[in-house]
Amino acid sequence: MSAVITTRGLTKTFKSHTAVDSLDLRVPQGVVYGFLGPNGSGKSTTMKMLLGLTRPTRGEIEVFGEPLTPQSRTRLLPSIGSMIEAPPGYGHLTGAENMRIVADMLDLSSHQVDRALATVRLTEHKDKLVRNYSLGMKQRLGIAMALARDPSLLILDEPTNGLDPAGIEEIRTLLVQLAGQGITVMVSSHLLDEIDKMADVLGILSAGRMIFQGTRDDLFQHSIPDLLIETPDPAAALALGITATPVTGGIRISGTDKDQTAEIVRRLAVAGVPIHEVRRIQQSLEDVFMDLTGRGGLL
Amino acid sequence: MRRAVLLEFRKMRRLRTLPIVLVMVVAVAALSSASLFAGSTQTTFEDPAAHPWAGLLLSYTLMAAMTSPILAAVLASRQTDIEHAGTGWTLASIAGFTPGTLCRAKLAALSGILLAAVLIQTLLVVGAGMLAGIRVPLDAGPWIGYTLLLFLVDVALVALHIWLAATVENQLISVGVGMLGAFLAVFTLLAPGAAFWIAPWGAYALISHVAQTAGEVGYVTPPYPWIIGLLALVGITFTLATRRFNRLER
Repeated sequence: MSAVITTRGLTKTFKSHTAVDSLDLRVPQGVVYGFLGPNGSGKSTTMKMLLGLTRPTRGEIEVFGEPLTPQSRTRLLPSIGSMIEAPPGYGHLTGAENMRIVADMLDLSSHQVDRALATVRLTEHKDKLVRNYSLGMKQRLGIAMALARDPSLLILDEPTNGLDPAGIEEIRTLLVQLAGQGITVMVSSHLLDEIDKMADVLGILSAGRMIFQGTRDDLFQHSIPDLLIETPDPAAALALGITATPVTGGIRISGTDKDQTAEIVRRLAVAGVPIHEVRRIQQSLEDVFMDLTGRGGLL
Repeated sequence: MRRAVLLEFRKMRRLRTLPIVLVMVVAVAALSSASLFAGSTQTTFEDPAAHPWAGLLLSYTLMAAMTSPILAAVLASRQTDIEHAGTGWTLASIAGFTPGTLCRAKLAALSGILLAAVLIQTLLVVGAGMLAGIRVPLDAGPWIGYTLLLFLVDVALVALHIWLAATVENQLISVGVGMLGAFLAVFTLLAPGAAFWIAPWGAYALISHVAQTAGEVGYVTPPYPWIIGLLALVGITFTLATRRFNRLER
C-alpha cells in the first residue's frame, strides 16, 4: 500500500524542549490512521508540521510522494483538509456564512459547500450563528470546512474532543465512511477508546517519540502478556528465586518470552512444585497501550 | 490580495463596523460645529479677517484628534479579534493566506471605510458651517489638505493597532492604548512642541493646518517632511511586522 504521508527523522525543538523527536511516520493510502498519545506528546506539533504551519527543526516530510516545501505546500494544500487544535469558525457569522468564506478562499462551488454541510448533517443548522452552536456542531462545521475542498487527505486533530458519547460515535462513523470513499484520514486523540474502534493503523507517540506504528494486531504482538502459573503452593515457587508476584491460586510473572517460560516451568517441575495450569493473561488493547506509554496520562 | 480584502468585508457582517463609524462621524461633526451656534462666533461669519473657516477647522482638528485614535483602535481590534476567537489564523493559513496577508487585507478594507468616513465627516462639518451662515468663501486648500492627512494618519494608526491586536490577544490592551492615544493627541495639540516626541499620536497635531496665536486663529503650513517621514516609518514598520507574522508559529 503506498504512503500518503512519510516523514523521516522529523524533529521539532522549542528552545531546550524537544516536542517531536526523530519521527518516522508512514500513513498508508485510504486508511484511518489513529495518531495516539498523551496530552503534550507532540501530536498537534506533528500535524502542524505536516500542514506546513510549523517548520521542522530537522527531518523530511513527503506528502503524496512530494517533499513538503513552501512551494509544494501551495500546490498540495487544496488536496488536504484539516482541523487543528480547535474547530475554526467566526462566532458572529452563521455556519453558511463561514462556509462561504472558506469557499471564497479556495474557489469552491456552492455545490461543494452544500455537500460538505450535508455530509456532517449540518444543513438544517447552517443559518444559526456559530456562537450559538453546541461544541459538537462546531466540530462538525470544522470538519465540513475541511471536507468542502474534496480532499484526498484529511488531517484532524482531536475531532471528538469534548463531545458526548453520541457525538463521538457520529464523528467516528463519519470518518470510517470517508475512508470508505478513498479519503485517507489521519486522526489524533489522547483517548484510545475513540481511535481503537475506527483506526486501521495506529501510531503511538510518547514524549515526542514514536513508540509504535502498525495495525491493532501488530500492537498486541508488540507486548508480552504476563504469565500466570496456577499452583497450590506459590510459596514453594517463590522460594526457588523466581521473580514473581503471588496472586490468588498461583504466581504472576511479567516479561517472560517463550524460552524463559519453558525454563521456569522446568525449574518448578524439577523442584516438585505442583503446576495446575500455565497461561498468558488476556490483555485488553488499553493494557498494551498503557504498557507502551508507561501510563503517561492516557485515559 | 484582492480576494483577501473582499473576505474582510464579508467578515465585517454583524461586527457593527459601519454603525460604529457612522456614530463617530456624526459625533465629530456635531461636536466640531457646536461652537458655530454661539452668538459670539456668529458675529465673525461675514468678516474675512476673522477667519471663520479657520476657527471651524481648528475645532474639527481638536475633535478629530480626540476621537480618531479611539476609532482606529476599536475598528482594528474588532476586525482582528475575530481571528483569535475563531481560529481564523489557522483557517486562513491552511487555505494559503498567511497571517501577514490577513493583516494587510484588514488594513486595506478598513482604509476604504475610513476614506469614506473622513470625507463624509469633513463634508458634514463644512455643511454645518454653511448652514450656520458663514458667508466668507471656503478656504478649500487647508480643508482638503487636512482631510487627506487626517485620512493618512488614521490609516497609519489602524495599521499599528492591527499589529497590536494581532500580537496581543487581550483586546482591552489595544483599546486601552487607543484611549491613551486620544489623550496624547489632544495634549500635543495644546502643547505643539511635544508632538514630535509622542509619535504616532502627535501626528494629529502635526497635520493641523491652523494654529491659534495670541487669541487669533490663522492658517499654518504643516511640517510635511516630518509627516511624510512618520507615515513612511509606520508603513515600513507595518510591512516588516506583517512579514514577521508569516514566520511566527502559533
